[in-house]
Amino acid sequence: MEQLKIEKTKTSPMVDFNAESGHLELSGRSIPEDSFSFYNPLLEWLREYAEQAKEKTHFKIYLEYFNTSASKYILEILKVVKKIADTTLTIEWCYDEGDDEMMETGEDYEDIIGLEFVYSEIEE
Amino acid sequence: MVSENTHTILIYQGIINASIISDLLDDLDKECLKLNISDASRKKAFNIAVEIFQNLYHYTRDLNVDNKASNEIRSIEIRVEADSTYLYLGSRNSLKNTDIEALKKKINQVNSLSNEELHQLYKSVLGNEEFSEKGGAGLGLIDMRKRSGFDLEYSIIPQDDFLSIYSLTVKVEK
Repeated sequence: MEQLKIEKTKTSPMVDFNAESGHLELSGRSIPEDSFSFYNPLLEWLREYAEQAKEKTHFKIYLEYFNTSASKYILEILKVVKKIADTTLTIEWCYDEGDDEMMETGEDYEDIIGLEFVYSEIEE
Repeated sequence: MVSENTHTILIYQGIINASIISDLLDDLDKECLKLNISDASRKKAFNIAVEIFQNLYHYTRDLNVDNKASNEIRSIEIRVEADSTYLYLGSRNSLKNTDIEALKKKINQVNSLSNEELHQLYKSVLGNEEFSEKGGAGLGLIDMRKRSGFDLEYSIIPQDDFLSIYSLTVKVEK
């Protein structure tokens, strides 16, 4: 399956989903005006990947900002990713040093979705 | 309330769209850097501003009275002010009188909750499947109040049989 790669913009994050390596990354700002148009292709790719996931999947999420409409789609992404939790799945939730709100948001997702995250505080 | 010793760091009046929102957010970030506001508060202000600006856009882009839209009805005002302790993120826009009660109910609800209750409400709304009519997540006001830590201050002043002027101020500690 083809790699999904999208460059970051001022309002949408960088996406690098690689089915061959099992490395998935979403990073940057996610404040798009139309979250559906941005996130729907990601959800479609992940649903297909979930059917043929590698033994090891590492999903790195490093978001600087996201708006509340994106927050719903991030939850949808995590729900799809949860389907591959019977293989080795690592969800790495990264946040800028001192950004406690972003760390707590990760904990909220962890709680809602029922998957354990690995937390990485990134020095600025 | 905004205190007397404030100065305006950002103001915009007119129709709003995605490109204007992007420019205003850049300007706000630059102004916060100039004021040496802590990174945590700058991020808080940015996140709250995103919600305010995008709410304004989503609400006013389809606003009409008897199917007649005008630039006057759709015009909004954004004003960000600062004093020695706080940033005040303010907005003003036309509000349909038929939307007043639902809005008041939502704001009064988020203002009435403790931080822990607000956090639980946030998780509950985030975790449910519904999206609001305008495509939003229904989380905007909850998120603003949660990040600010202060009550959302608002006023609604009737203009005529159809419209009122709705003003909102969200305070962020510098």
